Amino acid sequence: MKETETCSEESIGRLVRAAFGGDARLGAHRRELVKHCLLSRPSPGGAGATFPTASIAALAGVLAVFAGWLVGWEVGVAVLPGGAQALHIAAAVLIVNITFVPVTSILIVTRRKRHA
Amino acid sequence: MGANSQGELALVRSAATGNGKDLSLLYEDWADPLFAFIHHRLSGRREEAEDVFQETWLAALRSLPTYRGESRFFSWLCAIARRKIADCRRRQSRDAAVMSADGLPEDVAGIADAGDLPDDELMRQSTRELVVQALAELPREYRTALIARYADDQSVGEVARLLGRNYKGAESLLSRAREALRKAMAGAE
Repeated sequence: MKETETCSEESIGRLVRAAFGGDARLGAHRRELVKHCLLSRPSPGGAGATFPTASIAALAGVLAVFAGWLVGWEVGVAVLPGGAQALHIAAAVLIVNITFVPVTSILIVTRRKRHA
Repeated sequence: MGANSQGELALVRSAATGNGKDLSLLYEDWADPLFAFIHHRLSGRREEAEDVFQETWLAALRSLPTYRGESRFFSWLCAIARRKIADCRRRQSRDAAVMSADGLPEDVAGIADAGDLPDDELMRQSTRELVVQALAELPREYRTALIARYADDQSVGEVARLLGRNYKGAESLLSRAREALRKAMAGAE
């Protein structure tokens, strides 16, 4: 009986070693890296979690366009750190600036010349 | 749904609301079994397994609010991992019709070089996956004990210290854990 138990313990040991031994274990560094990455991400509430950052990026973009319209300068948009959603919005705002700001600048310059 | 699953569901719900401590607990609980599962599915290709592992957790984190506890959390994670593995394979087949000199894809050539017939390799791979899934079904203490004792080659005394038990207690726990694993594997087959 004892021999059977030992034998089955050995076979269980071999199976566990084959499944979890050696290369099938995640390295400590990678393990911590992924954990850190998960914990530093916004909570999985989805849009709600990234909303503040996205709003700030959008607001910064709008202010940049407004400033460009007022002063007639070309204004770049600082891309704020944050989630992919914020980056998308910031990129969209940047595209708007690139097309919109030169047009408003020309309009302002024309208006000043006319007044002068 | 068992008490174990209820506890699991509560933990997942708490993690889904942004509780970092519970998310950390979930990760610590399932990181090893998930990596082993992916590693075996990808026939031991470590770098790809690490990438898929990370992608799986990120996708799982986004989908946590949709987990309803209809299956065990590990099975749910494995389902996500299977999709990520399929994505990874699609990427590979797109990127590379990387063929070795004799016209065989690299991984098949590797198996042939190792002297294993593909059927044998597949059989071993599926057995390893079965063990990983059976181990994942066990209570955390059983899983920790078995992995420490057999995969990490720790002595019973070291397992006892790891689990905060005396020597006899660890021996008895290991015996129950082996029995539970045997039953879980019989049930999974």
